[in-house]
Amino acid sequence: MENSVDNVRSQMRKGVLEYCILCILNRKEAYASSILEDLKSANMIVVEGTLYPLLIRQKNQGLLSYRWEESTQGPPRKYYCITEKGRAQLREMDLAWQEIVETIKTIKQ
Amino acid sequence: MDEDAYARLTAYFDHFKALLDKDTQSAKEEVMTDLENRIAELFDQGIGGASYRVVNLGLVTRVVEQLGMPDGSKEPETFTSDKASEEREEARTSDNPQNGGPDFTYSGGSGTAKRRLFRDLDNKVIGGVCAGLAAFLNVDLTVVRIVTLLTLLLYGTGFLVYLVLWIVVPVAKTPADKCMMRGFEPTAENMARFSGQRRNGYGK
Repeated sequence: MENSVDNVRSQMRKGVLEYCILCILNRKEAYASSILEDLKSANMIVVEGTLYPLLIRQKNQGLLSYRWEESTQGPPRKYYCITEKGRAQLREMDLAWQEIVETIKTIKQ
Repeated sequence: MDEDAYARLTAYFDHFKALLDKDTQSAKEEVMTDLENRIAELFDQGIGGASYRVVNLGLVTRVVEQLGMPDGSKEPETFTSDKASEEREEARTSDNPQNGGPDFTYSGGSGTAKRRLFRDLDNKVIGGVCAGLAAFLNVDLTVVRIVTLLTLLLYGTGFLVYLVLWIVVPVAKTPADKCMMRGFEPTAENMARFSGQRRNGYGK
């Protein structure tokens, strides 16, 4: 029982993770570890290893773009930002999210 | 880099890659490059704070735990001591016959690319001019300092020259600068070696 709850929970997280990333990048440009910090401070538990493949996938879908920025410590960093296509998708996701919230609300009544 | 640490990291890369099979080859490579860069950054931070300058197993384990797997799952525990020693053997024969693994510790500048004059704040006493000159000329830092002091005592012109260089010569700020200062091509690998690390022991 415990296990299946955990499973559902992690599935839910996975489902909204891409949405979360688009939301964060809609506000500002960011590189992977700062996106991660934002997610963590919002109680979204992910590891960096999850983030990198997702970012690349979203970039290849044309939702994100990036630029290199040199850092004073360590190798250059990839700063991601949202594209027009990404914004359009975000708007649709906003709607979808509203729908889900409404659905749950209605059912629970 | 320690041998066991290298084996641990190799195992981690294998596990990580195995979980990326959904993606295309180019996307996979891109993810791995990002991951490697991030690891270089974390190693750098881990090394910079401590007195040791070697990537050891403890550091690798910490970094690997922080990064985790692509699907957020636990890393499969196939890392046995057997495999470790096997990979260790491999590393010894292929990568670096003297050290048994890629050497991440820094040992003086010996690059062959064209050098550029920068001020080296990592090894500075006053403005990093001597340290920058030493890297530029590929001479021991102490020699440059003694010569500088001599010109100061004998003619006093050394003071003026130092002041001018201090004002004119730029600081080696980015890892790319630090590579060029020591005559290394500013590749990602080289940059990772020189980036932001305190080299207090160097040249003294």
